[in-house]
Amino acid sequence: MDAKMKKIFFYTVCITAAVSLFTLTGCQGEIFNSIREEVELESSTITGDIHSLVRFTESSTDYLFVENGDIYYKNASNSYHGAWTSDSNAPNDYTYMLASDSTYMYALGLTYTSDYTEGENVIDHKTLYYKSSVTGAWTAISGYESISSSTTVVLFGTNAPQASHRKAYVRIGSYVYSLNGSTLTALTTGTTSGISTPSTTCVSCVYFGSSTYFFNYTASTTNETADTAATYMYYVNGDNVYYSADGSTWTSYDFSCDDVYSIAYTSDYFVLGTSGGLQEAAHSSAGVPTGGADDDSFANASSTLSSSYKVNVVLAVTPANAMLNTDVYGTANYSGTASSTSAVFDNIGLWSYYPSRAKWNRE
Amino acid sequence: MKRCLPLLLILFLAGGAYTFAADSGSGDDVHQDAPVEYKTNDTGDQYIKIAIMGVQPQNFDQQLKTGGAAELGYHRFISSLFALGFDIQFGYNPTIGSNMFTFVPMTLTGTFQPYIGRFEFPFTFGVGAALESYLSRNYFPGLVLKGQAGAFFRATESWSFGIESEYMYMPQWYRDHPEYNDYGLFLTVGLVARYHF
Repeated sequence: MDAKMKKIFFYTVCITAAVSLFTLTGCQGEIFNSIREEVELESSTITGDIHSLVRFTESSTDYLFVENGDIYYKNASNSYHGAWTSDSNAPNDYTYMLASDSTYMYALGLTYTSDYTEGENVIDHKTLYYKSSVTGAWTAISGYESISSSTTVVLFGTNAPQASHRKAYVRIGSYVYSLNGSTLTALTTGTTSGISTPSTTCVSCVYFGSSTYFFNYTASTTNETADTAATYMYYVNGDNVYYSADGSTWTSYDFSCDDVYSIAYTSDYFVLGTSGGLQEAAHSSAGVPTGGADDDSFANASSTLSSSYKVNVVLAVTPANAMLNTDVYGTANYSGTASSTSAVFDNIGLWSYYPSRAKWNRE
Repeated sequence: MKRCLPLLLILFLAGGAYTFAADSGSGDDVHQDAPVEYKTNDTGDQYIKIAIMGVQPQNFDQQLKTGGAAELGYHRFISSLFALGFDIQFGYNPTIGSNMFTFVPMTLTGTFQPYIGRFEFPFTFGVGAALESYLSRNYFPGLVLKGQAGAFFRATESWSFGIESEYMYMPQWYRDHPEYNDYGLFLTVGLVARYHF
């Protein structure tokens, strides 16, 4: 090969490689713009694995309760970091779930024991608790102090903005009970999700009309506000939201996002807790979904509750307000295993968005 | 990124192949009778540089913190004062929100290098493409322009050591979202070792 041929070969390879680089592998993720949205992170006050964040009303004052093994509460109107108070009366076991109705708070506690053969802690039994005031003592519900560790127990409620629309339920195995203080009433169960009869595998519910509708999916909500009744209810299966105005006809809409674990309603957006971070999806003023999900409409959410985290729980405190004008809480947990993700341990826990701060930050 | 590496390798190998191909047979061109002038560097001289440096973002307020980078480069003199080459840099900057911005600029460079005695003062301009990453997002190819200046001491015939500083411009342009258009300015200062051959 003479020098001229070598030169032609060299330039051919270079040009081909350059064209390939620029045309086949281009990607335009938003970077600098997101970095400019970042803020210095607060010290975490509610850390760890969180499964529920519920409303509770006492003497016309709205409170929020959250669990991470322990129980914390705050006045819902305290829109600032660090307002949570540890519930000094919390049960001694590991609080795994919370729910509330118009009168009572409920907790599911796990008692662990050491398995010396396997060298790990395992659940010994599960206990249901209730209490009737924010600072009151928790009482184990008679007959449900020692539920077998192998029995599935799911505690959930409507968590409606209006206290009178809050109902609480517990599924123990394939049986579903309505809760009223220390009284559990067994409900007739079926196999269908999205109706007012709970299925044997239901995990969430909403209050709509004058009934409770049960779902086999964790993400469900309505467009109820503190002053108006719901006109639509929603649940999400994967990334498809199903909405209904009458409880019998359901219409689907594809959010085109990661799997949705939780959903909250605001007057302009759905806030979605997904397996890939916090995302938002627009809806009409009537509440009909109109847009796919994205992660760049909600302040610095894309760089905090990012795709490195799964968001099990979201709650918008004032659904009548626009997304940027209401307190919103979200939880962060590892998406995948702790060793296989770029998620940071210190970020696992509760996060908040306050309009006065206009940024997401650790709570 | 995985698709990029083979292509970069091809570029690298092709460059090397061309370089050595151009060298073959040059030993026949020695003229015993010509006057000999000794220069520190001359046409055909080459060097490889290895650098570690601090990276200070210039236009991000507190959002990006001081980071670091390492650089590898190959350069070849086409005259006693001017060299062409390329640099690959691997850099990072922590963000205020405990995330990480990383970047891999790949630049073709031209270097003008005057010298005084055993001190060499390279001034370099580079243009190229960068792979920029943040969280699970990538931006590629991102334009990179950089200007570099340094001071080196030629410790031996084969080695020189010194410091070098560069100013780097990395814009991000979005075809579908022009409102996201932005740019980063970065100042680096680092220690450099160069192997001459």
